Amino acid sequence: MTNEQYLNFLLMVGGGASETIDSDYQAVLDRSTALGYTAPSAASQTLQNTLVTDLKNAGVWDKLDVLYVFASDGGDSDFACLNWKAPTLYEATKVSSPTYTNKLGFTGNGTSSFINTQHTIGTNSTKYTQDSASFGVYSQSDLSVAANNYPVAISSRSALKRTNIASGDNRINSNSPSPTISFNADTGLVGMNRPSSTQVQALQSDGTLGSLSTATAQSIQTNELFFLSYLSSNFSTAQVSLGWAGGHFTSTEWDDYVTAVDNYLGAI
Amino acid sequence: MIVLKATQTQFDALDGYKNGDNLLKFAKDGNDNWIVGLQVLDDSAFEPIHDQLNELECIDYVPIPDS
Repeated sequence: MTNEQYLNFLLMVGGGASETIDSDYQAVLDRSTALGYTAPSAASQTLQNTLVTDLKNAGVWDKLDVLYVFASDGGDSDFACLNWKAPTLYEATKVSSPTYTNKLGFTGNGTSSFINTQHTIGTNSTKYTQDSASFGVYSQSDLSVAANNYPVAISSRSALKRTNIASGDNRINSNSPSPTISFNADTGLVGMNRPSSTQVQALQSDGTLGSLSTATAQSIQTNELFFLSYLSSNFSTAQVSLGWAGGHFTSTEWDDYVTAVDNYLGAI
Repeated sequence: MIVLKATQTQFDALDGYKNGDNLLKFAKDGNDNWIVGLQVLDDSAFEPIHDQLNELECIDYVPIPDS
């Protein structure tokens, strides 16, 4: 029985006769099979399928350039590197052995390890643009701690350094000086949002958007999207379960995104 | 924290080694040394270069000053 047949069987047995495997999630499973990776458990696959459909129903999926779901139950670290938006493109590289933990994701060592998505913002991205952009991570770690600096970063104009930092180092398409962008929580799904050419805000893990701050958009510095490192010169000890880059989110989209991810990670 | 330090010759030989989704890449520490974390020694992806990694010098990590 193939992965698809088994998953459909489980969905049917589980009472979800109307549920089917989303074609984009099936493409992730197919890529995993083709490369010989270890896919998550059947139960985890069902949850992942739900995550994809939830993101689609919320209008979030279409805003993403890349989506990496690092955490699963039973999937190996190679499966965790697949880009769910386009499984044959931008498979992430594990640089210098970040630690992989089942159900949680990747942890950096603070000295040299990180995740390189190989997705170059400004070259490969179509949703992430100068005036409409977002990026972020789900962090299991306290992002107010300096050792966890830079759970996600692209360039000196686009980085999330620390949730409580009292400087302009949390940026998205803006250069120094940038406004201070702080967050109301230090774990969970967080990110940076640029809804216009003149404003930026925090994407907060309680599902709300932070206050809008003025920061004129500057041209995108073309760089690869990294998790757990800033320009491969600063390294984080954070543990990250999911990450993305794409266009900006409305308040409703962001709230639905947080709910979908929280539901998924809470269930695996 | 203990990390592994590479000489320039070791760096030239090992940096950029790739096996599947796994890449070995040295970073600079606060003393301008090429270093990498101890985790690479236990990574099965780097088994083919394990002997060379074992020859790297163990040193105390010197953080890069926060900019």
